[in-house]
Amino acid sequence: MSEHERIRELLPLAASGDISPGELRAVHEHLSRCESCAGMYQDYGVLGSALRSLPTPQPREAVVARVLELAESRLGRSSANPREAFILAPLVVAGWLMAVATWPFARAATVWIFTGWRVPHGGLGTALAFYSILGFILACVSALAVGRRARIVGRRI
Amino acid sequence: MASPEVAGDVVAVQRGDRDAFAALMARYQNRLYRYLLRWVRDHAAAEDLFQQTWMRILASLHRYDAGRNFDAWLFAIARNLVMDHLRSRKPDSIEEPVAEGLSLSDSIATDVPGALEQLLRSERAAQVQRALESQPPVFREILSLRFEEEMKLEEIAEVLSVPLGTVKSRLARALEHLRTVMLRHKLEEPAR
Repeated sequence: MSEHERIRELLPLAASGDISPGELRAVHEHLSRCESCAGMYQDYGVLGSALRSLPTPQPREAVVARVLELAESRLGRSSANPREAFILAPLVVAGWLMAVATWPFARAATVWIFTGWRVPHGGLGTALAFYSILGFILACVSALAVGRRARIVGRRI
Repeated sequence: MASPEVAGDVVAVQRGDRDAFAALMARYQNRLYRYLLRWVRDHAAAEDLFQQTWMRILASLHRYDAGRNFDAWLFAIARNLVMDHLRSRKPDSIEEPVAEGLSLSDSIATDVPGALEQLLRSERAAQVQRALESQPPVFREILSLRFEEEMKLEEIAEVLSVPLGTVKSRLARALEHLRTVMLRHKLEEPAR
Protein backbone atom coordinates (compact mmCIF):
# COMPACT_ATOMS: atom_id res chain seq x y z
CA MET A 1 0.00 0.00 0.00
CA SER A 2 1.41 3.39 -1.01
CA GLU A 3 1.70 6.27 1.42
CA HIS A 4 -1.09 8.06 -0.48
CA GLU A 5 -3.47 5.12 0.01
CA ARG A 6 -2.51 4.70 3.66
CA ILE A 7 -3.13 8.36 4.40
CA ARG A 8 -6.39 8.31 2.46
CA GLU A 9 -7.64 5.52 4.68
CA LEU A 10 -6.84 7.63 7.71
CA LEU A 11 -8.65 10.74 6.49
CA PRO A 12 -12.15 10.10 7.91
CA LEU A 13 -10.81 9.39 11.39
CA ALA A 14 -8.23 12.17 11.10
CA ALA A 15 -11.00 14.68 10.41
CA SER A 16 -13.02 13.44 13.39
CA GLY A 17 -9.96 13.66 15.65
CA ASP A 18 -9.76 9.93 16.23
CA ILE A 19 -6.16 9.13 15.27
CA SER A 20 -2.92 9.35 17.22
CA PRO A 21 -0.79 12.54 17.19
CA GLY A 22 1.87 10.72 15.15
CA GLU A 23 -0.63 9.66 12.52
CA LEU A 24 -2.11 13.16 12.47
CA ARG A 25 1.32 14.67 11.80
CA ALA A 26 1.81 12.25 8.90
CA VAL A 27 -1.62 13.17 7.52
CA HIS A 28 -0.91 16.91 7.68
CA GLU A 29 2.45 16.46 5.98
CA HIS A 30 0.79 14.52 3.17
CA LEU A 31 -2.06 17.04 2.83
CA SER A 32 0.41 19.85 2.25
CA ARG A 33 1.46 18.22 -1.02
CA CYS A 34 -1.69 16.29 -2.10
CA GLU A 35 -4.59 18.42 -3.25
CA SER A 36 -7.11 15.58 -3.65
CA CYS A 37 -6.51 14.26 -0.14
CA ALA A 38 -6.70 17.81 1.22
CA GLY A 39 -10.11 18.22 -0.44
CA MET A 40 -11.31 14.93 0.96
CA TYR A 41 -10.06 15.82 4.42
CA GLN A 42 -11.92 19.09 4.19
CA ASP A 43 -15.09 17.23 3.19
CA TYR A 44 -14.91 14.95 6.20
CA GLY A 45 -14.38 17.93 8.46
CA VAL A 46 -17.43 19.65 6.97
CA LEU A 47 -19.49 16.48 7.37
CA GLY A 48 -18.47 16.14 11.00
CA SER A 49 -19.45 19.67 11.90
CA ALA A 50 -22.69 19.34 9.92
CA LEU A 51 -23.57 16.17 11.82
CA ARG A 52 -22.80 17.87 15.12
CA SER A 53 -25.15 20.73 14.34
CA LEU A 54 -28.16 18.67 13.26
CA PRO A 55 -31.33 19.61 15.14
CA THR A 56 -32.10 17.32 18.05
CA PRO A 57 -35.50 15.65 17.77
CA GLN A 58 -37.40 15.66 21.04
CA PRO A 59 -39.91 13.21 22.44
CA ARG A 60 -43.48 14.47 22.79
CA GLU A 61 -44.36 15.89 26.19
CA ALA A 62 -47.13 13.32 26.57
CA VAL A 63 -44.63 10.50 26.15
CA VAL A 64 -42.26 11.98 28.71
CA ALA A 65 -45.18 12.51 31.11
CA ARG A 66 -46.29 8.91 30.64
CA VAL A 67 -42.81 7.58 31.42
CA LEU A 68 -42.58 9.79 34.51
CA GLU A 69 -46.00 8.59 35.62
CA LEU A 70 -44.99 4.93 35.25
CA ALA A 71 -41.69 5.55 36.97
CA GLU A 72 -43.31 7.37 39.87
CA SER A 73 -45.77 4.57 40.32
CA ARG A 74 -42.96 2.05 40.34
CA LEU A 75 -40.68 4.08 42.59
CA GLY A 76 -43.62 4.79 44.87
CA ARG A 77 -44.11 1.11 45.46
CA SER A 78 -40.47 0.28 46.03
CA SER A 79 -39.89 3.33 48.24
CA ALA A 80 -42.94 2.34 50.28
CA ASN A 81 -41.00 -0.64 51.64
CA PRO A 82 -39.58 1.14 54.71
CA ARG A 83 -43.05 2.47 55.50
CA GLU A 84 -44.48 -1.01 55.16
CA ALA A 85 -42.44 -2.00 58.19
CA PHE A 86 -44.15 0.70 60.27
CA ILE A 87 -47.56 -0.51 59.14
CA LEU A 88 -46.88 -4.23 59.38
CA ALA A 89 -45.19 -4.19 62.81
CA PRO A 90 -48.30 -2.95 64.68
CA LEU A 91 -50.34 -5.47 62.70
CA VAL A 92 -48.08 -8.25 63.94
CA VAL A 93 -48.49 -7.07 67.53
CA ALA A 94 -52.26 -6.76 67.07
CA GLY A 95 -52.37 -10.29 65.63
CA TRP A 96 -50.46 -11.58 68.59
CA LEU A 97 -52.75 -9.81 71.09
CA MET A 98 -55.77 -11.23 69.30
CA ALA A 99 -54.26 -14.69 69.62
CA VAL A 100 -53.76 -14.18 73.36
CA ALA A 101 -57.29 -12.82 73.71
CA THR A 102 -58.72 -15.91 72.09
CA TRP A 103 -56.78 -18.14 74.44
CA PRO A 104 -59.74 -19.06 76.76
CA PHE A 105 -61.79 -20.17 73.72
CA ALA A 106 -58.90 -22.14 72.26
CA ARG A 107 -58.27 -23.72 75.64
CA ALA A 108 -61.93 -24.67 76.01
CA ALA A 109 -62.06 -26.09 72.48
CA THR A 110 -58.90 -28.15 72.83
CA VAL A 111 -59.09 -29.24 76.45
CA TRP A 112 -60.19 -32.71 75.38
CA ILE A 113 -56.83 -33.19 73.65
CA PHE A 114 -54.99 -32.75 76.90
CA THR A 115 -57.42 -34.67 79.04
CA GLY A 116 -58.79 -37.34 76.71
CA TRP A 117 -55.47 -38.24 75.06
CA ARG A 118 -53.47 -37.60 78.22
CA VAL A 119 -50.83 -35.53 76.43
CA PRO A 120 -48.26 -34.35 79.00
CA HIS A 121 -48.15 -30.59 79.42
CA GLY A 122 -46.64 -28.14 81.83
CA GLY A 123 -49.79 -26.48 83.01
CA LEU A 124 -51.70 -23.42 81.95
CA GLY A 125 -48.67 -21.10 81.69
CA THR A 126 -46.79 -23.32 79.23
CA ALA A 127 -49.85 -23.85 77.06
CA LEU A 128 -50.54 -20.09 76.99
CA ALA A 129 -46.91 -19.35 76.09
CA PHE A 130 -46.97 -21.97 73.30
CA TYR A 131 -50.25 -20.61 71.98
CA SER A 132 -49.13 -16.98 71.98
CA ILE A 133 -45.78 -17.82 70.30
CA LEU A 134 -47.64 -19.76 67.63
CA GLY A 135 -49.93 -16.75 67.12
CA PHE A 136 -46.93 -14.42 66.84
CA ILE A 137 -45.19 -16.63 64.28
CA LEU A 138 -48.33 -16.86 62.16
CA ALA A 139 -48.75 -13.06 62.29
CA CYS A 140 -45.12 -12.58 61.18
CA VAL A 141 -45.47 -15.03 58.29
CA SER A 142 -48.66 -13.28 57.15
CA ALA A 143 -46.98 -9.86 57.31
CA LEU A 144 -44.00 -11.09 55.27
CA ALA A 145 -46.31 -12.62 52.68
CA VAL A 146 -48.23 -9.34 52.34
CA GLY A 147 -44.99 -7.37 51.97
CA ARG A 148 -43.63 -9.77 49.34
CA ARG A 149 -46.82 -9.61 47.34
CA ALA A 150 -46.71 -5.80 47.32
CA ARG A 151 -43.14 -5.88 45.98
CA ILE A 152 -44.02 -8.39 43.24
CA VAL A 153 -46.97 -6.27 42.11
CA GLY A 154 -44.69 -3.20 42.05
CA ARG A 155 -42.11 -4.99 39.91
CA ARG A 156 -44.71 -5.95 37.27
CA ILE A 157 -45.40 -2.34 36.25
CA MET B 1 -17.47 6.70 35.09
CA ALA B 2 -20.57 8.85 35.63
CA SER B 3 -20.28 12.59 36.34
CA PRO B 4 -20.86 13.56 40.02
CA GLU B 5 -24.33 14.97 39.21
CA VAL B 6 -25.39 11.85 37.35
CA ALA B 7 -23.88 9.57 40.01
CA GLY B 8 -25.80 11.50 42.69
CA ASP B 9 -29.05 11.18 40.78
CA VAL B 10 -28.47 7.47 40.20
CA VAL B 11 -27.90 6.79 43.91
CA ALA B 12 -30.98 8.84 44.79
CA VAL B 13 -33.12 6.92 42.27
CA GLN B 14 -31.80 3.66 43.68
CA ARG B 15 -33.22 4.84 47.02
CA GLY B 16 -36.57 5.55 45.38
CA ASP B 17 -36.26 9.32 44.87
CA ARG B 18 -38.75 10.31 42.16
CA ASP B 19 -37.35 13.83 41.70
CA ALA B 20 -33.92 12.36 41.02
CA PHE B 21 -35.44 10.14 38.35
CA ALA B 22 -37.11 13.16 36.74
CA ALA B 23 -33.75 14.97 36.79
CA LEU B 24 -31.97 11.98 35.26
CA MET B 25 -34.60 11.70 32.60
CA ALA B 26 -34.48 15.42 31.80
CA ARG B 27 -30.73 15.10 31.34
CA TYR B 28 -30.90 12.20 28.89
CA GLN B 29 -34.35 12.20 27.31
CA ASN B 30 -33.50 14.16 24.15
CA ARG B 31 -30.26 12.31 23.52
CA LEU B 32 -31.88 8.95 24.07
CA TYR B 33 -34.83 9.79 21.85
CA ARG B 34 -32.52 11.04 19.09
CA TYR B 35 -30.47 7.84 19.26
CA LEU B 36 -33.60 5.68 19.04
CA LEU B 37 -35.00 7.73 16.20
CA ARG B 38 -31.74 7.43 14.25
CA TRP B 39 -32.17 3.67 14.48
CA VAL B 40 -35.84 3.18 13.72
CA ARG B 41 -36.66 6.38 11.77
CA ASP B 42 -40.22 6.20 13.00
CA HIS B 43 -41.55 8.41 15.79
CA ALA B 44 -44.12 5.92 17.04
CA ALA B 45 -41.55 3.11 17.31
CA ALA B 46 -38.99 5.47 18.84
CA GLU B 47 -41.51 6.59 21.47
CA ASP B 48 -42.35 3.02 22.31
CA LEU B 49 -38.67 2.13 22.65
CA PHE B 50 -38.11 5.32 24.64
CA GLN B 51 -40.65 4.21 27.21
CA GLN B 52 -39.30 0.65 27.28
CA THR B 53 -35.76 1.90 27.75
CA TRP B 54 -36.62 4.02 30.78
CA MET B 55 -38.56 1.19 32.36
CA ARG B 56 -35.65 -1.18 31.74
CA ILE B 57 -33.25 1.38 33.23
CA LEU B 58 -35.44 1.67 36.30
CA ALA B 59 -35.60 -2.09 36.67
CA SER B 60 -31.83 -2.52 36.20
CA LEU B 61 -30.56 0.50 38.10
CA HIS B 62 -29.87 -1.48 41.26
CA ARG B 63 -27.37 -3.52 39.23
CA TYR B 64 -25.61 -0.45 37.80
CA ASP B 65 -21.94 -0.30 38.77
CA ALA B 66 -21.01 3.28 39.68
CA GLY B 67 -17.52 2.76 38.23
CA ARG B 68 -19.00 2.28 34.79
CA ASN B 69 -19.71 5.02 32.29
CA PHE B 70 -23.41 5.82 32.75
CA ASP B 71 -23.90 7.12 29.20
CA ALA B 72 -22.50 3.91 27.72
CA TRP B 73 -24.61 1.82 30.10
CA LEU B 74 -27.78 3.71 29.21
CA PHE B 75 -27.21 3.61 25.46
CA ALA B 76 -26.29 -0.08 25.62
CA ILE B 77 -29.66 -0.80 27.22
CA ALA B 78 -31.41 1.22 24.54
CA ARG B 79 -29.42 -0.60 21.86
CA ASN B 80 -30.41 -4.02 23.17
CA LEU B 81 -34.05 -3.05 22.99
CA VAL B 82 -33.59 -1.67 19.48
CA MET B 83 -31.96 -4.94 18.42
CA ASP B 84 -34.88 -6.95 19.79
CA HIS B 85 -37.30 -4.62 18.03
CA LEU B 86 -35.50 -4.82 14.68
CA ARG B 87 -34.94 -8.56 14.84
CA SER B 88 -38.64 -9.08 15.31
CA ARG B 89 -39.35 -7.03 12.18
CA LYS B 90 -36.50 -7.28 9.72
CA PRO B 91 -33.50 -9.31 10.90
CA ASP B 92 -31.17 -8.38 8.01
CA SER B 93 -31.58 -4.64 8.66
CA ILE B 94 -29.08 -4.84 11.54
CA GLU B 95 -26.18 -6.18 9.50
CA GLU B 96 -23.32 -3.96 8.45
CA PRO B 97 -23.45 -3.46 4.68
CA VAL B 98 -20.64 -4.56 2.42
CA ALA B 99 -18.65 -1.75 0.81
CA GLU B 100 -20.44 -0.39 -2.19
CA GLY B 101 -20.30 2.71 -4.30
CA LEU B 102 -17.17 4.02 -2.63
CA SER B 103 -15.30 4.38 -5.89
CA LEU B 104 -17.36 7.47 -6.63
CA SER B 105 -15.97 9.00 -3.48
CA ASP B 106 -12.43 8.66 -4.79
CA SER B 107 -13.08 10.02 -8.25
CA ILE B 108 -14.94 13.06 -7.03
CA ALA B 109 -12.37 13.76 -4.39
CA THR B 110 -9.67 13.83 -7.03
CA ASP B 111 -11.55 16.09 -9.39
CA VAL B 112 -13.24 18.49 -7.04
CA PRO B 113 -11.35 19.23 -3.85
CA GLY B 114 -13.64 20.34 -1.06
CA ALA B 115 -16.74 19.58 -3.11
CA LEU B 116 -18.88 19.13 -0.04
CA GLU B 117 -17.94 22.54 1.28
CA GLN B 118 -19.69 24.11 -1.70
CA LEU B 119 -22.59 21.70 -1.51
CA LEU B 120 -23.24 22.21 2.17
CA ARG B 121 -22.88 25.97 2.21
CA SER B 122 -26.63 26.19 1.77
CA GLU B 123 -29.25 23.85 3.15
CA ARG B 124 -26.58 22.12 5.18
CA ALA B 125 -28.77 20.65 7.89
CA ALA B 126 -31.48 19.40 5.56
CA GLN B 127 -28.97 17.83 3.16
CA VAL B 128 -27.07 16.06 5.89
CA GLN B 129 -30.25 14.97 7.60
CA ARG B 130 -31.53 13.37 4.40
CA ALA B 131 -28.20 11.73 3.66
CA LEU B 132 -27.92 10.44 7.21
CA GLU B 133 -31.37 8.93 7.06
CA SER B 134 -30.50 7.11 3.86
CA GLN B 135 -27.54 5.40 5.55
CA PRO B 136 -27.66 1.78 6.69
CA PRO B 137 -28.72 1.55 10.36
CA VAL B 138 -25.30 0.61 11.74
CA PHE B 139 -23.75 3.62 10.00
CA ARG B 140 -26.50 5.94 11.26
CA GLU B 141 -25.87 4.63 14.72
CA ILE B 142 -22.13 5.14 14.80
CA LEU B 143 -22.34 8.58 13.20
CA SER B 144 -24.95 9.60 15.74
CA LEU B 145 -22.95 8.30 18.69
CA ARG B 146 -19.71 9.93 17.52
CA PHE B 147 -20.95 13.30 16.30
CA GLU B 148 -24.31 13.91 17.94
CA GLU B 149 -23.61 12.24 21.28
CA GLU B 150 -19.95 13.27 21.13
CA MET B 151 -18.90 9.90 22.52
CA LYS B 152 -15.29 8.78 22.47
CA LEU B 153 -14.47 5.69 20.44
CA GLU B 154 -13.90 3.69 23.63
CA GLU B 155 -17.38 4.61 24.88
CA ILE B 156 -18.90 3.64 21.55
CA ALA B 157 -17.10 0.29 21.75
CA GLU B 158 -18.72 -0.21 25.16
CA VAL B 159 -22.19 0.60 23.86
CA LEU B 160 -21.79 -1.64 20.82
CA SER B 161 -19.90 -4.39 22.69
CA VAL B 162 -17.33 -4.59 19.92
CA PRO B 163 -13.53 -4.09 19.83
CA LEU B 164 -12.11 -0.60 19.37
CA GLY B 165 -10.72 -1.56 15.96
CA THR B 166 -14.22 -2.43 14.76
CA VAL B 167 -15.49 0.96 15.90
CA LYS B 168 -12.70 2.74 14.02
CA SER B 169 -13.23 0.87 10.79
CA ARG B 170 -17.01 1.21 11.01
CA LEU B 171 -16.80 4.94 11.65
CA ALA B 172 -14.40 5.44 8.75
CA ARG B 173 -16.66 3.47 6.43
CA ALA B 174 -19.73 5.32 7.63
CA LEU B 175 -18.11 8.68 6.89
CA GLU B 176 -16.95 7.49 3.48
CA HIS B 177 -20.43 6.21 2.72
CA LEU B 178 -22.11 9.40 3.87
CA ARG B 179 -19.77 11.51 1.79
CA THR B 180 -20.40 9.33 -1.23
CA VAL B 181 -24.15 9.61 -0.88
CA MET B 182 -23.99 13.37 -0.55
CA LEU B 183 -21.76 13.78 -3.56
CA ARG B 184 -23.99 11.46 -5.56
CA HIS B 185 -26.96 13.67 -4.72
CA LYS B 186 -24.96 16.67 -5.82
CA LEU B 187 -24.17 15.04 -9.17
CA GLU B 188 -27.79 14.09 -9.73
CA GLU B 189 -29.14 17.54 -8.92
CA PRO B 190 -28.44 19.29 -12.27
CA ALA B 191 -30.09 16.41 -14.16
CA ARG B 192 -33.44 16.97 -12.38
